[in-house]
Amino acid sequence: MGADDSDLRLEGLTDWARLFGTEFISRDRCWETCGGGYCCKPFRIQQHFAFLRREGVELPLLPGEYHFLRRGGLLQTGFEDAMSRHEIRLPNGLSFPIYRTVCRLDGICSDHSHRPMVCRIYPMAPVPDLDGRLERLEPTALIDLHWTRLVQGKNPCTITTLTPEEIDRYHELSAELFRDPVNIFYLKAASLYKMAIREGLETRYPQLLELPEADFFRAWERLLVMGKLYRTQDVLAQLVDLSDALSARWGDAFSLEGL
Amino acid sequence: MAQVEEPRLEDQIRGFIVSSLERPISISDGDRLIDRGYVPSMQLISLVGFLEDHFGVEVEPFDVTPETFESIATIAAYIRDRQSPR
Repeated sequence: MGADDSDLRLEGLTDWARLFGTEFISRDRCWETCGGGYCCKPFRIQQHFAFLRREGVELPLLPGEYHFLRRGGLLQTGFEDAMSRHEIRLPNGLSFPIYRTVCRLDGICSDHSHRPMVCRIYPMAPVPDLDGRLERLEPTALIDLHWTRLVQGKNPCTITTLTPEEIDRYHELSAELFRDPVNIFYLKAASLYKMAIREGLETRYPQLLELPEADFFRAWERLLVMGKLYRTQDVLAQLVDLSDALSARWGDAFSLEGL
Repeated sequence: MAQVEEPRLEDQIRGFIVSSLERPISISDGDRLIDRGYVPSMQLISLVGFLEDHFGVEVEPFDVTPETFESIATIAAYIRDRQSPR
């Protein structure tokens, strides 16, 4: 079945084919140095987890990315939990979906060139301002918020060292992603969550940062999953403000409906 | 006036889980929630928030195990235990 206009509209304003046709950050056999393969199969730190998935890596997709991959037949669903979609409801009545996939060296990760965007941009995520300009880069992965401190600059993962050319590619990637204000919302929202997690740990549980790696991640996972690192209502209120600000800036071009 | 019966605790938990799924799915009390993808692991945060707000209990992070969240039945048992006088 061919794509109709509604399929394409769901992908938004970003040229996903261009992004998926570009290697932004890639190193030969990086998975051998990154704790067992961060994106495509379980990584070393997961052995300390009790609640979060240990037999694969749960990864978020941007809504437009999800629809692009689905239209291209790239979302293989050979196992029951390969894809999920959940709604986050905001206090003002709006809601938005979170798409997730699970990578276990099968499904979307069975071909390295099809890996999700969050893997393709690892280790950094671009954070936009409201106008769609690159404001800063920050760690993509939640565990890296703390991991880089724990290893004190001795991260063995080869892909975490960026060349000037790769930083240029982040700018190229950002320009394409930020054409769509929906992506601006999602990337700023991800940054808000990460900031809440990092600040929550540092202000509420600073003693954890003194623990050895295994003990740290055991405690961190529990506090994260049980929602104790930050106040969910505070983050949701910030997302309402963000949504309002993007509506004011972008008008009808920004909408969280029908994603 | 007819008395309105409060939904079973299990049904209230089920309602929350199903409402956040992409399509309506029938989940039984004993279905394994995380293994079957009904509650992706990061979605546990929302589920815990719902349990605390809706049932007035405090979920203690170091007082639960993954088995607590294995199914609707195990979650309901945990909530009943937390609600019971100590």
